[in-house]
Amino acid sequence: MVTEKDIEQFGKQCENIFTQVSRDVIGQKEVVEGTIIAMIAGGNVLLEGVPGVGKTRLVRSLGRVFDLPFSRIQFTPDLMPADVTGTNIIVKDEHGNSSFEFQPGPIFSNIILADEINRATPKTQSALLEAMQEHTVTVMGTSRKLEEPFFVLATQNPIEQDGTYPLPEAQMDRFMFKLIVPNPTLDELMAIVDMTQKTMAEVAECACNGEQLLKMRETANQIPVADEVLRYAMILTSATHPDSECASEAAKKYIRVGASPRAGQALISAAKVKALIKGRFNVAYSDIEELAYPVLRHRIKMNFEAIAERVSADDAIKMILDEVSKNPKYKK
Amino acid sequence: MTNLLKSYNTRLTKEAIIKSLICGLIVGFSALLISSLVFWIVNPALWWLGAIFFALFTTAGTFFFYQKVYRPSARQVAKRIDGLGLEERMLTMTQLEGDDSYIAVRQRQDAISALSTINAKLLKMAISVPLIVCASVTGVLGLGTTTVSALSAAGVISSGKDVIEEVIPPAPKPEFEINYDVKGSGMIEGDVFQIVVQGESATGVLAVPDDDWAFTEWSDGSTNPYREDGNVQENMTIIANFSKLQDGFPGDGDGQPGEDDGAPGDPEQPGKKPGDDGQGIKGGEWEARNQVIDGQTYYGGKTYENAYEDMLEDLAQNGEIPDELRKVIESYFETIEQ
Repeated sequence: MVTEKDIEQFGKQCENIFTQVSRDVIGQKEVVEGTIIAMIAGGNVLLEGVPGVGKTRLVRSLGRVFDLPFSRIQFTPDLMPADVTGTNIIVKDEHGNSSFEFQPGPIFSNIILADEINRATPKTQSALLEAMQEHTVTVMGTSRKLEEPFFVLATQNPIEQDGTYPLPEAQMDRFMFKLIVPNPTLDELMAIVDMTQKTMAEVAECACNGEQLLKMRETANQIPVADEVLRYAMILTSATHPDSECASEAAKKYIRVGASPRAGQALISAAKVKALIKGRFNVAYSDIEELAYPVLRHRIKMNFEAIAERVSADDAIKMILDEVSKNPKYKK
Repeated sequence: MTNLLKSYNTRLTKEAIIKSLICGLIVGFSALLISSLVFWIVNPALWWLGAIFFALFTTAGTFFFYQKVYRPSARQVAKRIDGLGLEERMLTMTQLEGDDSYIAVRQRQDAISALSTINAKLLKMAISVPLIVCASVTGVLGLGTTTVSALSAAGVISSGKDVIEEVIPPAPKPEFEINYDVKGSGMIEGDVFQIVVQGESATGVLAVPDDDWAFTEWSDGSTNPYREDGNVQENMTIIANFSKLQDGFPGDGDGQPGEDDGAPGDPEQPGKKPGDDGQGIKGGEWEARNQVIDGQTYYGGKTYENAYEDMLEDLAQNGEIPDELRKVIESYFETIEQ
């Protein structure tokens, strides 16, 4: 049961988290907010951006802010699943007897930075699937639970696609958000250069620990959602399917595969956190609409027509939002 | 919560009544339009019934739309208030009504706090333009047709039926030919050849016999020399039968119908008139005294004419009328009496 103290704590901690992250990351407000929302809601984040825009720095800063163990895995084509999950190795005891002992991989941490995740082979990428969804790792038939909170913050580069392995839909679906990290503005660029001239190291301090983060998640989960708002979120999700009963015209024209039910779950979970961060005790339509882009953009598969007409996933989502919000049948 | 939303609820109820009234008017005007149109075509004198239909349908429509469509529920009121920028606070609050959990209480406080920042007057009436346009169009049409119907009832303009017949003429009825012909010596006064529309009547014709001939009957059995055929349904050829008259007094003179007066005058047997067999005539059968020829009554032809001349001659020569002649004269007067 949520108490007044929990609500106050949530507000204070959120403020602290944003303050501390802003010490390391200049600009990128939406990306920072999106990442924090996903972390509070318990989702994984895929950060996509060109090199040098601060993706890795953001993740490292978050590790410091949440005071959580942080692992960085640089994905390369020769990276093996065991390099991620860990493996059984033969060890000898004091009597000289050999036995297998599990050597945990870097995934046994709280925050995982999967850098350039699309450079690893699908087999290695798949090693993350179980960890991302069930927060467990199974090696040699033995399942091991990962410590909570557990997040995977992956990055990928939208260019230099040679020698990369695009993430399969199943993998993509495990990410709550896909955030596009834009290039900084001129003012931001000046601030970044100015700051990094002094020190390259992250300076953010701990704003809350893992336990407090879990409590924040619990608090956010209690935020009520009106039936109409919930329905609107589900209609939006369903409208991305070209063959659903709520199929939008944009989906029929440009989308091959729509978003899964996980998208609906992610929308609501994230919207609750967003509402509470804004100091509101209920989810609003605006929360759903704002979160539709990061939640849906990586879950919809565009068709050939969209590619030919250069219609991006974000364009399609905008069309769907316009259509759904104006349709009297799905009236807000 | 009811008190909290009271002022908003009042505004939205007013809006709902106005919307319902507009919808009711659309229904009423539609009823007026249809009824006036029907009355204009069928019976313009009943145009005033349209006004009664209008009142009934408007009342029923308004009531129906208010109860079934526009009556604002608490959630609808909350939704409208949220539209003023409250970000679904009121909607969530109505859903959490009765929930005493901390988060529900906080949400309620937040919603009330946000509600206090806005003014109920900001809640503008939302009546859709298409609804107003629809009401206006049906209103103009309904009142227009009522006016037309009323003017038609007053005789100022044509009725709908006439207008329709002008615009779409009815399919022409079939026409039939009627031929009047004669058998024997006589003629037919009037048009002997007529073309008559189905169901209509032909103009009258009169069968007129020549001198010494009498009309006996038409070929269809009618014995009236004048005829006016009505409700014509087929081509017809009607023959007027005439028969030659014989000299002499018809009938046996006893004033009683004869037992066998014979057939009406037969042109094939000239000189033999009905009743010449001394049996008298039957009532309703041919009788010389019933014949009107050339506008003059037939009184027995030469029999009486000769008797008259003989009587004048006898009176001049002898100064008295012989008994035989006296009987003829008596018989003449009896005939006239009959």
